[in-house]
Order: sequence, then C-alpha cells, then structure tokens
Amino acid sequence: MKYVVVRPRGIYVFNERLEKEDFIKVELEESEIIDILSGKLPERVKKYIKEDYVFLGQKFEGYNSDFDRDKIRKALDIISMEEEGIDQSKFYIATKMGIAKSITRDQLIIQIIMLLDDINKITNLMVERFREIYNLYLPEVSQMIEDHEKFLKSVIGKRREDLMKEFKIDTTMGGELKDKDVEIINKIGEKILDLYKLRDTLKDYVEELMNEVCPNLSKVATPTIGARLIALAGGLRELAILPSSTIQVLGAEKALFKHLTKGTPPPKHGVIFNHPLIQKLPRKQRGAMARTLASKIAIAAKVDAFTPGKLVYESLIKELEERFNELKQEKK
Amino acid sequence: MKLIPLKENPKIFRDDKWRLYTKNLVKGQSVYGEKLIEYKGEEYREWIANRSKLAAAIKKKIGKIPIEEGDKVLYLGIAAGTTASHISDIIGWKGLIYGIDVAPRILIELMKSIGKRKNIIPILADASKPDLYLSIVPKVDLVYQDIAQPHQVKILINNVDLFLKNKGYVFFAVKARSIDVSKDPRLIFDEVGKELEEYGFKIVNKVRLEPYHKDHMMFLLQK
Repeated sequence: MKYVVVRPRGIYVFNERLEKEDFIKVELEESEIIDILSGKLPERVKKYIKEDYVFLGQKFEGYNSDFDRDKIRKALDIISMEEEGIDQSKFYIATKMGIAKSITRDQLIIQIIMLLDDINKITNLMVERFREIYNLYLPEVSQMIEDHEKFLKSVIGKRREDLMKEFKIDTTMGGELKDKDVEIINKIGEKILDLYKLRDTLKDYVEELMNEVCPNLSKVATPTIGARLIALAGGLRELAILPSSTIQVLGAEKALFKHLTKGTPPPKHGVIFNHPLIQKLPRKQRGAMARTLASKIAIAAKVDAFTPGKLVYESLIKELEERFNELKQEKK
Repeated sequence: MKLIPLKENPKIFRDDKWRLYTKNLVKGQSVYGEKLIEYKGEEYREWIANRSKLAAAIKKKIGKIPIEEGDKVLYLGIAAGTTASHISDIIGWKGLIYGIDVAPRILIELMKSIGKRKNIIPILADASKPDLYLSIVPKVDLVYQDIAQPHQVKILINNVDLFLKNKGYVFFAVKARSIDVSKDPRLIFDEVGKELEEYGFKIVNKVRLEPYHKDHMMFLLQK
C-alpha cells in the first residue's frame, strides 16, 4: 500500500511509514485545478494511480482515502518543504473559470425579480412627480383617476381642451403653459409608460424563467412568490435546503429577529403572505395555511433543485386545496 | 505629514492622526478606494479601520502583529480582498496568501484587484471542506479567518489542524450576530474563547472592534 497526495505540480507518493518515495510530475492545467476542487480526479492523474494507492485527506470517487489527521499533517510537512513556487496566474485563470461555471439560471431570476421591485419603486416616484407637474396644467384629471398607469394613458398626447370635454371639466385650476412645456410633459409621461411596459415584459419573463428552471415551485408558490423566495434564500439550491419553517417566514426577517431578541409574537408568514390561498382566508386561519403552504413549497423546491425535470406540483396543489377547504369549513 | 513604523510591526505605518498605512506593493493601484500617498519617494496605501477588521484590531491595540515578509498565509473568507491586500503588502513578493472563499459573486471583486498582486492565490472553495483544497494549500505561518457562519470555530479548528505550522499564529474575527442573534455578544465571545482554549490554542490577546465594527471581536491565537 502507498499513500498519495495530488498537488498542482504533480503526485507525491509515500510509503506506509510516510516517507516520500516518489514524485510524479504532472503540471495541472486550469481546468484540472477546477476538477480537483470539485472532488474529481483529472484523467491525466488517474493513469498514475495504482490499485493499492490510498489518497491522504483527499476524496475522489472510486478511490480509497485515509483521513487520519496525523498522517495528513506529516505528508503535508514534507510536501511543504519540497514544493517549488506556485504559478499564481494559473489559479487566477482557474478561479475565473470556476466563477463562470458557478453561474446558474436561478441567479438570473434573482436579478430580474429584484429589478422588478426597483422598477416599481422608481415608477411610483416618477409618477408622483409627474402628477405634481401635471397639476400645473390640468389638476382635475389627476384627481379623478387614482390608478397611475390608467392616468398616464388617459392624458398623454391629448390636448387640454379635448381632455376637459372628455372629463366634463368646465373650469380648470391649471395654469397657462407654452406648447414647449406641454411637449416636455408628454415626453416625461411617455418614458414612464415605457417603464410600465418594461415591467410587464419582465413579469412575463420571470414567469417563463420560473417555469423553465423550477416548474414545481412556480406552480405551487406562484411564479412571483417563488422568485422572491429564491432571491431571499440566495438561490434555488439554497432555498431547497431550507427547512419549511424558515421558508414560512422568509421575507419577515425583521419580525422574526424582533421575536428572537425581544420576545414579541413570531411572524406567521413572510413573502408567502401574498399567496392567493392565504389571502382568501380570514386572518385567524392564515397561520395554519402558511405552515402547510411552506411545507409544500419546500418539497417543490427540493424536487426542482435535486431532480430537475420531475413534475410533482399537481399532487402538491391538490393537498394544498384540501387543507384550504378544511380551514374554510372550520370557520363556519 | 510623517509616517512612523509601528513598534509591533515595522511594515505597518501610522501618521500623526493614527491612520494606518502599508507600503503599496502594486504602485498606483488602489484596491478598495483607499487613499494613496507619497512619502519619501515611496507609495503607501491607507488602511481603513472601518473597512478592515485587522486594521481595527491594530488600532484597538491587539499588541502583537505577527505577519512577516515572506510569510505564507491561509486566508479563510477573503471576500473582496480588502484586508488581504494589506497583508499582501506586508508579506511582499516572497510571501503568499491562499485566499479561500465560497461566494463567486464576491470573488469577482477580488479578481479585479489581484490581477497584478501575484502573491494572492484565489481559490473558489468552501472553508468547511478543507479536503478539497488540500491539493493546493501547504503548511502556512498564519491563518486569518473572517467567516460569518454559525460554526466558524469548527471551521477554524479544522483548517488550523491541517495547515498551520506549530507555534503559528491565527487572527480570528468573530461576529457574534452570526453565531446567535439573540444572545449577548459578551457571552458568545466567552464561549468562543473557551472552545478555542479547549482545542489547545493560546489566546495571545483579544479586542472588541467597536466602534469600527459592531459586535465583533478579534482573537489573536497561537497554536
């Protein structure tokens, strides 16, 4: 039996008393460094590994390993004394490649859902300002239409006289503006409407991405809530390894920490609060529903993360609806 | 302005207002927006205590700063490389930092600054699985750990056990809030101290990092 340790410049071979017997020179390439870091033995190294070789402290599938700390330390002592300088640029490139490899489609979901939140905030700010500006021109319409998007669509590109007729306004409190002023006001409004359009496009896109990346989660949690959960957990895999009790309160961190540090009542739900099955129930029953929903979401996320392609959402939704009806009955 | 080398470590400098500096290894390059200054024909980088826990620990008089030219350092949780860049200045071209981090996103920031800093080896790996980088990291003179994880003590011990030379030193930044948010930080630091002593560490010194970093403590340990 011999002990071996793979290093960037080659393979160290030790006898059973941990005396160095051999050094087989194999300069690892960047991609092979990534292989080793993810527990895969590069092909070029494999051919030097004989049957009675045991890896010290390293684990590669199909090979024997020994994790005895004393032995590892002893070998590392010898290696550290002998090893020549290390080529930083190789690791620089390997890490760059490793970062590139780590990019997954759920990260795109995270960024898009966060951008959606940003756009909502930005458009709200801009519309409020737009209404202030429009009030200088024709405040009555702004007062009549509360919905921002509808308001924009009703006024943009239209002349004041026409609007006054349309909305039956006899006298306006708006001031006299020049043509140039009105032109600019219209331009601002158009840009905001463009942002609303972008928001709608991104909403559809998130839905598409969710159905592609995690169909079960998307169906059980709804695409938007599912995407938010992924964002809060930091990824689909990360969400999949969370217990359902954590999923239940994701997005309610403030209330949760207040509960932990100050002893206030614990939060019942985080972002899953917006789920239709919770919204449709009276307050009292929402906690119970949130618990069930979180547990089904946890299952859906696990399936999506670890057995991609498998579809289980139908039975999960059925169970959710059963629970929902049960809770509804209880009320009466 | 005058720069004075610290008596604890002549590679670290201070000015009359007790701002810290290290001599810039890569001339003209500022890593995280810190000021570069010229003094007697050399370029120095300001080491900002609000950004770096080690700088804060030095300002809070941790006493010993056992980082020397040519040292090999294992840096667990290197992140964007703010602190690491100053250690890199101190150990110079003959030294080497093995910088481990599990988060690809933050390593993108690190890569930007270490293109020319050839004494930092970036490794995308999980510090709680040292067997995966056993093929790269050798025995080191110093371990620096700044990982916000509940099991940070266990991670440290696992790594030190394998990679730190006997009598080697450890800088260990502990964030109380990532161990337990609901407990009093003082209790957590006491428990951490006990765990470290149980393993056999000698606690050389420990300092709270307020006001630069809230609820943090820096332990200086010797194996």
